[in-house]
Amino acid sequence: MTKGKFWRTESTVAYLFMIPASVFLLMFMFYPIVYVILMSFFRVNKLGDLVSFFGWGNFRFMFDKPEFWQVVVRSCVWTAIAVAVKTAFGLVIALLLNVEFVGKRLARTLLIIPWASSVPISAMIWQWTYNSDFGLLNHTLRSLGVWRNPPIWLAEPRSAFMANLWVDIWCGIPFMALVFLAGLQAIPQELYEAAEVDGATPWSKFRFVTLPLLSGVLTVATLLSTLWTFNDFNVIYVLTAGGPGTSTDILITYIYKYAFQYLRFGPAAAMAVITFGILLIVSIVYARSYFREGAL
Amino acid sequence: MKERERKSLYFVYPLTVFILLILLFPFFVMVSTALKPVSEVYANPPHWIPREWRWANFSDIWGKYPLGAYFKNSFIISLGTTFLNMVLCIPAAYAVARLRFRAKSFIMYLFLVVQMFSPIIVVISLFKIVALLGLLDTLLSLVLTNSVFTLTFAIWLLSGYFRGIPKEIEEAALIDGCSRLQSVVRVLLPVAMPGVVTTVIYTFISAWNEFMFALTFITSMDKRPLTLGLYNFIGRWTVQWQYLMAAAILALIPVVILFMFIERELVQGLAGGAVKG
Amino acid sequence: MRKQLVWILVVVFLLGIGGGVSAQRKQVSVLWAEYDGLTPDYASNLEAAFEKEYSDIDLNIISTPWDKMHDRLIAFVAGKQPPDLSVIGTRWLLELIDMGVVEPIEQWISKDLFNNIDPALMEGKIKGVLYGLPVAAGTRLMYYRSDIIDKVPETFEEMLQVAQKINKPDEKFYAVGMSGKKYVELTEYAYYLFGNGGYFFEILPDGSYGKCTVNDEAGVGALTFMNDLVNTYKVTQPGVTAYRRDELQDLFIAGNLGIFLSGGFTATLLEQRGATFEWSVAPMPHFEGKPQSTIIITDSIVMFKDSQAKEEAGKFLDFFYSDPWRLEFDKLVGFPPVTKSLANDPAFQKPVYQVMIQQIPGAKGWPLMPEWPECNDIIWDNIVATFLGEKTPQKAMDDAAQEIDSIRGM
Repeated sequence: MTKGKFWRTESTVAYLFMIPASVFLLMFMFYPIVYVILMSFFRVNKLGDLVSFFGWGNFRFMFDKPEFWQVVVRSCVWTAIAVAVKTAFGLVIALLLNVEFVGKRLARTLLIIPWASSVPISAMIWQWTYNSDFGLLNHTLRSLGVWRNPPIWLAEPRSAFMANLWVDIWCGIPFMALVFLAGLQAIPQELYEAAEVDGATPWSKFRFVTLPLLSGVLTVATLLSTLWTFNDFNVIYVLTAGGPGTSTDILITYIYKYAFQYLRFGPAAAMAVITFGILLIVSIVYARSYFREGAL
Repeated sequence: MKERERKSLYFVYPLTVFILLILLFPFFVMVSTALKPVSEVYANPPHWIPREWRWANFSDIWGKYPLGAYFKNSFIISLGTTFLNMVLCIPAAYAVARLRFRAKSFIMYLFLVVQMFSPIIVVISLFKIVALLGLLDTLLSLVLTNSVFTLTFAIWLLSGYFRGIPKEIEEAALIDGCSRLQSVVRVLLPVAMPGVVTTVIYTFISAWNEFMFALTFITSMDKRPLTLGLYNFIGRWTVQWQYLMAAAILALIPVVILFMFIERELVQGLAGGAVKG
Repeated sequence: MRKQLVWILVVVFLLGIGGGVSAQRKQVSVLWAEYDGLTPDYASNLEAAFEKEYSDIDLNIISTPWDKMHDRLIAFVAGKQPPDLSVIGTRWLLELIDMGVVEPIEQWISKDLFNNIDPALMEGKIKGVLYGLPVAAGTRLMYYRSDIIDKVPETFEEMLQVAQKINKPDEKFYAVGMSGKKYVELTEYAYYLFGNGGYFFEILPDGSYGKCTVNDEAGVGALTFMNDLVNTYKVTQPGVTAYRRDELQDLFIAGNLGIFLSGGFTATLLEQRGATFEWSVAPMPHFEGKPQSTIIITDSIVMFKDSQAKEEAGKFLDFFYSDPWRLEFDKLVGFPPVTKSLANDPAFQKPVYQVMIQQIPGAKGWPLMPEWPECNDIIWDNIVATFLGEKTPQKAMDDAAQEIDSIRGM
């Protein structure tokens, strides 16, 4: 009965708690988001002002470009590979750093270094590392004999894409690892001990104890990482600016080019809305499982 | 059992070292380049260890550019963002994790929508809002906008951690006569420390590294944060690599130190918390 | 919770008040580019000196990395908060005119200043109206290794002959530098195109731009020659599509290139970094039977229509273009002077300045049209496709011209 008293005003309290964050976000994001959506359906001048209603004109303008569809597909491939690798790497590192060993704290601290410098600067550093004359990557590969004839990374479409992809992954790994590590810390040790009593192998402990209990954090981290990776502008912009040709352009770099370089705000807004659509579908599919599992 | 744990270290150590070597490769490049004189920066083929160690690169940049002011600004922005973010996200995350209300999943999706628009897309509109509030060229404008973009993940992540903690702990505290606020501050937060710390690190680093908004909202030289200050070394016709790398290393240090202090909490949260007690 | 919100609102409020109080003096804001070599001191000294002379004006120099100038300007203009003055690449001028945000500048500056500027550099004059004063202007020229090359090539054909002699890829020495990475400017192609008597567009009798002409004989010839250097004779550095101009410049300064086509800033850097070899400059080569030509690139400073302090902004221009400040600026940035009064200054008698000035009469600028950024990208992408062997030069330039004409509604 006492319990009823505690939770009676539950939803009032809940709304009260949600209000500051919601109002804050609305205050800053309502206008920008609505304006982007409006722009996508209007003719827009070079100052970004709405001129006249255009229906699906901006969308059709993009759909008629053959590169546009390549860019959309590439964005999806880019995101899928990057998020998968980041998650896998992050999980392995989190599991490693969850084991007790001497030097663990040092390893954890070193781990965050890739995350601790800002993405544009990290991309600059990688650009320097990839440089085929003065950069240390190819030099090291050659002198260690790992790869006698490494490519000039940013010269060819395929290797440039890989090079961009790796930098994005590199920037994202520490974050993933850290989030997973915190998740692992929250799993009560007793569960592992119980499993061991039942004679569980390390694999089955991972499969039946770790993974299920980590699934909440895993879902949130991969979902958000998907959104960020899809919209990761800085890496590509600094390393190749979408080149050679348009072979490393993804939607967000395309949007940037149309908005800030060509001042075609209409088509840029249309692409932003398409991005929004893609990400919304992904999120709904994704978050469904999250909400279903959880006690939300 | 102990035996098996020791055995597992045989592969934990090499694997950790190997992964760290790969992840830190560009960091080694940074250090190596930051210590080279110009002539060696452009040596072809390059070498790892500078023939001549030029520590003066660090004093050069410290003397020529107001790096001290940049550091101060970045600190204010990051601490401000972290503080504002925690103030906003803890109650919201608590409500999502603990309380039942109808619009919950709708609101959570709404938060998520914010993350689907990249800062590049909304920066001009945000610029208008910031100008309307009279906040152009203030550090507060960056505190606010950075919070906007870190809040979603903070709420989602933190509520996930909160949910993983048994409800009964707080209920016990409530029965003991704690107010709801006390039960959150004294019981829930300490137990959820790893999650809180992760959120703090995430917010701090995001704000520390933000670039686009700083470029757009900050106009005076002396209000620049570090990320913008680093662009001093990226010119139109050349990049001063040795200086850029030296400055980037300096920019790393505070984050790494902060992490070293806070990292302990990641581990101690649960172990020292109320779950076992 | 509410307390925090109130606290935030109070801060917001106070800052708003603070902004209001300081606005007593007339404010002039200048979006200022950080040129390489220009120290942050220069801008702050300029600001202080100006405010000392005009105590009723509050000058605010918004210093910006060059790389980010365009982004920032667009955000300011589209955000309806343009500065009073801004340094721009002159090729951006047409999009600003198209937006209707720039102010004709002649009436706001003194006659003396107007007369002191070299008319050949007034690229910011559109259809007889002057919108921008040149801040920096320079023609592109050829750098070469004078310790290796004894006869300076005057034509591209001669350059190829020399290149085949000196190219030693095994020793990491490449005869000609060529940049092919995506970059905002199309300079590399412009060198060869202009030297072949070509241009990007047909110029109609009334001075406006007609159809795109990169697929004519001159345009395709230029690209064919570039492509041959890269893929047939292989006298360039390998992987041209990975090099931006600054990366190529590093290669030249490190001593790995024989010939490098670039601007005046390379000379400054060669001295700063203490290049250990002998180098010299010469006019940009041209193709046999074609007149010598090169590209001239200017930056301008423009005034915005919405400015509330045009008169004061004009005073700043007069101040900035006075000899002492211009001399220091030109010296630091490494461009020949834009003002007549400095033309004979001893600081500008070096060969690099001489060649740059000597080339001005035959030099051409970027097309001044609002769609240029898009056209630029289209041509660039097709050039890269040629280098990668995806298209023949003829096909690449045909595609480019067709796409550009359709964008411009031709």
